[in-house]
Amino acid sequence: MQEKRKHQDGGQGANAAVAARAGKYLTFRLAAEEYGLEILKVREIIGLMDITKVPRTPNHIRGVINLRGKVIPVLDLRTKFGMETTPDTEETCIIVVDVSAADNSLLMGILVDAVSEVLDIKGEEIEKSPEFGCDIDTSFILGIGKVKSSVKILLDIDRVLTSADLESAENIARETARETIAAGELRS
Amino acid sequence: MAVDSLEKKLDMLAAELVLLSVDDLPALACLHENFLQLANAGRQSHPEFARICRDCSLILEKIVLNEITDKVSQIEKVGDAISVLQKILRDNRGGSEIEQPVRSNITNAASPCENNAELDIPQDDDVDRVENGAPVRIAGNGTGNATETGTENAEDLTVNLQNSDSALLADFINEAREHCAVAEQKLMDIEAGADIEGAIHAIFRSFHTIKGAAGFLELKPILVLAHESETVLDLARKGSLTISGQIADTIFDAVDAMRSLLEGVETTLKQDGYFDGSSLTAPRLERLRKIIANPAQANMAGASSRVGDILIEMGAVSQREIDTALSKKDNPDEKLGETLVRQGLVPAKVVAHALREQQQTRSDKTPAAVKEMVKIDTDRLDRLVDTIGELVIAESMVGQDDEILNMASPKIARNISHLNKITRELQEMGMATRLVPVKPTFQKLARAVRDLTKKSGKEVELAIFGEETEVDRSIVENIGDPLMYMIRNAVDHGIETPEERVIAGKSRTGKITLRAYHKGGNIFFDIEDDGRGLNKEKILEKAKEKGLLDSERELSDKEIFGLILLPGFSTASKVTDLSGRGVGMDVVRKNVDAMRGHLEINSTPGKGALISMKLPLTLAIIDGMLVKVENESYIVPTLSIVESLRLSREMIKSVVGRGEMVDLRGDLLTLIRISELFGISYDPEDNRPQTAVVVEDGFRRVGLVVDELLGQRQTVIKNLGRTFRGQKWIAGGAILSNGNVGLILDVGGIINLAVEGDWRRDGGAEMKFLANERSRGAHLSKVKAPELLAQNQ
Repeated sequence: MQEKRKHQDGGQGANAAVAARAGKYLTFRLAAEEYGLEILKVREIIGLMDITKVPRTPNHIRGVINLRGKVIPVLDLRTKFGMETTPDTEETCIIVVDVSAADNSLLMGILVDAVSEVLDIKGEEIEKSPEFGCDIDTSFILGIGKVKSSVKILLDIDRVLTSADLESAENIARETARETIAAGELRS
Repeated sequence: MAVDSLEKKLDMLAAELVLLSVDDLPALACLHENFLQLANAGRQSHPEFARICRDCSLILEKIVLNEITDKVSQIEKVGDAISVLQKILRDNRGGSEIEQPVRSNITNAASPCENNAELDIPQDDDVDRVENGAPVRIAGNGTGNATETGTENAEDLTVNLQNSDSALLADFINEAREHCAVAEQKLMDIEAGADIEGAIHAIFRSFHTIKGAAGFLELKPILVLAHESETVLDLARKGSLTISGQIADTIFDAVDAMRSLLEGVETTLKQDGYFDGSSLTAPRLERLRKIIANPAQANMAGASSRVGDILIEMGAVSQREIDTALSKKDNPDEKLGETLVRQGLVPAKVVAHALREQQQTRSDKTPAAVKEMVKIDTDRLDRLVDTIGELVIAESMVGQDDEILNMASPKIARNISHLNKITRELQEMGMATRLVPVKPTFQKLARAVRDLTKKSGKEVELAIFGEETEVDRSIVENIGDPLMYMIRNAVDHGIETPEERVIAGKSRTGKITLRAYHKGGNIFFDIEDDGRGLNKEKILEKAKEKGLLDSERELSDKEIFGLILLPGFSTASKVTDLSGRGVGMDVVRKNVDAMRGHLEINSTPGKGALISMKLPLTLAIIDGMLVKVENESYIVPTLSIVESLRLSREMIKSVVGRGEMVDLRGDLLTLIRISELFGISYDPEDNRPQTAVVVEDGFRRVGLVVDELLGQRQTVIKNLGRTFRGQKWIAGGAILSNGNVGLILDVGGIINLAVEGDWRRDGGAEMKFLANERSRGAHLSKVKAPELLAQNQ
């Protein structure tokens, strides 16, 4: 336990760090699980609207929308987390979040199955993210919130979105492009 | 100013002086300012009062600048002076008798503080008369000897920016930059001979404001530099110095140094450290002080001839009479007016009138119609324009709604049309807020030409047309560098030396014409020079040498000139300080491309060259063709569209390993299927007629296969943000009329994507393609296209 904690948060500060994550969270549903987002990161929630697909981008990037004159990318969190895709429903909506990237912040929409509520989660209700072994990266999880016997996975949205999407979008795009061309050549 | 108010002000100053500590720089600066004001206020009615005030301010200035060691006693002198001043005002309301000892005491104190006592010359002209000879001119002795040792080398020009008020400093930097720009512009006005007096005043004011603020913010190097520049201008203002040639250069240089200092402060501000401005400041200070020490001679004539001008204008005398009067002047110190009156040419009353008029034009400082301006954060402005754009979309969505259209109520129709009118007006206004004149950019260029001319020893005249042309702010921001580059090119490589020009039978002075104008929804910038023009042979030779050209095909003139736009091409045989650092015109092209513009070069050997730059009116709006591919729609920028043609299956030829092509009037055109490229599913067996949009990105020409053309649209272009930075084939997003986002295709990016099998995206790729294209072109010209196709089949 002691060791794990050290690994996670650098020893003694662990509890304090987890406690500091207490606050208001916007919770939403994705498949069967409930997730939480720090409320300060959330800009607004909008209903599903037409999303323009951007070709040659990774699958989990749904496309772009027009948010009152600002074009922002929309990320499909289901695909991002490797869940199976389901058709959009009435409840599907886009949470617009403020992601702080390396130098500046940018707005991004994330597509979720349904938005639940805003919860005030106390410090003692938050546990640090579990360890699954060295190969599994859990750095995008802030902690686990246990509220009235239900479990909410609290996401560090900055890490969810910046870890791979922003920087490697180009590489992934190249991959897809290569595949398409290969397919095209086969056909001709 | 009435005596009462002068007295009141003086009492206030006295109170401040009592409480003053010699180390309190802001307070000292404030006092200095107040004395100057008093001097100005009392200039007319109480000349001696004003004189003493000015001397007091001089002393204070020296204290602020740390050029005096014995500060306390100097402050005491100022205190004495105040009591004298009070006495002057109390005793007589005309100001005649002054206590001589105090007067000279003050002057003594003020003069040795200058590094050179001769600074007093401009002020002493009539003081000397008041004091009945025996001019009080003290060389650097007595109180001043401490100053002698305190040369500028010893001046501490470092600024501590730790814990400084960064917001205040940032404001100051912005403001000071504007003042620099004003000063520069006015300097050029002076050189051009327009409203010299007003311009000098304006420059003086600019430096003065900078000085005041710099003193307050304790920015020593800026303070000192501004102060010395101000002193030089003050000499010019008083007429003892004419701003031209060397002196103008020095002031230009000071303005530049000021800018560098501001930049230095700005950078240091971010790091929160010390800024040492001495290396920037010291050489300028030396030059400025040299001028101050030795103001040019024969300048009084300049000032008095002005009186003459006015008299001529009034019809009181003729130019010849003035000339004779001037030559007959027995005493060089005698004013022209006096001479004229003495010779009985003009009645004294008329001269007085002219003098008054002269005074008036001098004090007429502020330009008549200054529009009131508000500074707005550009982000805020952009947001406003964005929101207006959304309003327009929302309005059209409501207005075009079927339900509303079916209501057939005249009242609703009227209201909606009213709404439409307002939104349209709002949109126009929003767009107008983005427009700025190109004048400031052109002025920078004019300045550059001036400097370049001096450096290169050539004679160049720059003619500017259309500086009032308004363009989008984003364009103005980006146009500066390319224009500057081309101007440098023109001066450095285009225009010949005067000797060469004379031999070639041209006038010694070269001419560069800079034009900005609107034409057909675009804005054009033309740079024309009458120099030696472009050397076609040299360009071709160079292109071959650099491996940019490997075919023997004949190129048209336009193509040859186009070669210099390729990366790594520079015809300058020698690298100079001015231009031709080996970067070449490709930098210009890249900049222009980024603005979705187009460059065209034309040249006649020996006659000169014309570079024409075509740019969209705004970067915010793109003129595009909406095309449909399956269920998706994209926007192709109209600028890159050459034509479009209906495709039938028979026209499309498949070339093994090269994909599909179409025979376009004897030329083979590569086809790029958007659906295939973008991975949109499509049925290859589908026989629907398709359309090929022929596009080009300057060098390459391909056909984009789409399903349908939906028509031309003007759309607001939006940045897709860093998420899609890697997607080079998309130029951006655009808000369509239904509020959805449409993607704008980047033709160059698409061609790169489609043509390069190995997906390299480096700069060399384009060149390689070009080389291929050329060799293929050569090949094709030998074998006719249909034959080639036949071979392949």
